[in-house]
Amino acid sequence: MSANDGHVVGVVKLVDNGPDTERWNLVIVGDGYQEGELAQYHVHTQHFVDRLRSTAPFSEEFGGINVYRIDVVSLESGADDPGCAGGPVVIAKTYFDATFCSSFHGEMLDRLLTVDEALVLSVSNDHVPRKHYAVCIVNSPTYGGSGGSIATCSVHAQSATIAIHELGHTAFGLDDEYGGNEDDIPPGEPAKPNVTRDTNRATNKWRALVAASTPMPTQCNPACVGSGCVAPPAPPPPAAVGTYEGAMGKDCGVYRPMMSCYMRELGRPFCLVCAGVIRETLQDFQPQ
Amino acid sequence: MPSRRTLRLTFRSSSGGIEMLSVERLQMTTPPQPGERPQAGKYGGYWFELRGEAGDVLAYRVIGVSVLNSVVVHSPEGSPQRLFGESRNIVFEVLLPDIDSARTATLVGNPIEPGERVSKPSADLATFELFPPPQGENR
Repeated sequence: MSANDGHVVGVVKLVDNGPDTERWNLVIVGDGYQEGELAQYHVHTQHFVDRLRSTAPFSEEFGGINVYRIDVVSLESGADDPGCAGGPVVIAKTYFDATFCSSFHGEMLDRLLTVDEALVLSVSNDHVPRKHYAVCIVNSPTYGGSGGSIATCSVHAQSATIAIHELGHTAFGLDDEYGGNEDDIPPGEPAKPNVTRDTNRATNKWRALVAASTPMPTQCNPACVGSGCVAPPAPPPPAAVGTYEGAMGKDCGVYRPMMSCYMRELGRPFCLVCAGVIRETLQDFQPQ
Repeated sequence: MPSRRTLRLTFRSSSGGIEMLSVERLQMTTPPQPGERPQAGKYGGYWFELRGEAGDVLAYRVIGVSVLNSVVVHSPEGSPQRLFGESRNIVFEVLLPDIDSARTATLVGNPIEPGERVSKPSADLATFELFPPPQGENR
């Protein structure tokens, strides 16, 4: 269940929009594909690329992106599944050691699909030295994925959205926009561009996108007592950029720019602030 | 003008701390860092600062907390959930512009103490000398 369990076949430049020195270079690797399944891997890779290409604002900026596909053969198909969700235990000898039920903080999480990220980075850099970011597609129909230094997703129909969300974190520095019970939010104004504690329209970091008619804060979570959020008398206009309570895994006292966003709910459009950050990042990679 | 020369710094994070594994100098475009530049003490989170001889900040890169002490569990039925815990054992990369006057890369952020909440203001956490690199290569 390691690099001894397969080999790297080679690399193909799948999307060629220009020299690697000037483009944003995305690398895709696969895990859990046997030699006879590489054609399937190529289809899965293309599906992911198509999904990314059709997701705004990547759709508008795709001319600045190169995509490489690294073909990797594993001895066995699929991924490890220790059976933490009650299913049968499956062990698969794969090159990047993909496994569901990865352990975090002493708990096995059935949908937490991880691979050997250091090995993915190493193989990616060896074959595409000017790589900016890597995604690993795992040959399993079970829903799962993870983020970190790379994005990992299975071939479940909805799993590609995990990789795009995680790309938002690692490649574009975006934070989560969903709430939760997390108490471990660091003190201070968040460094990330799409979350804030500041509801003052004169100083808020995305104030340029806030209309004068939009109340600030824009929406409070009624369950939050003592967060300091004062609810506006009227609900905000639909799709207004403002400050909506709940972000960074915390329900109270931290704010996101819009009701809905890919960084809050997978598959939704990126909010205007996140889309702006992605667009601004990829602008420097566009052909002149 | 975007920088066409990039430093790729590779780190290993674990409960024992963070070590720099390599520095690579690459002929490739450095992604810009949108947003306000965070300042220690005022901002929360984690970022690397590329500093010159006098400690002046030449560039910075905000990094995700997910590389340090949390994971996201996704669900096809609804919103993801972020779980925090002890420091992860992970290798991660940071891209910064390759500027001749750069001397160090400093990780700035809120101290993570084992078993404690992240409650202290952000400060310099670790500084790494860039040259000569610990290992790595020119590409």
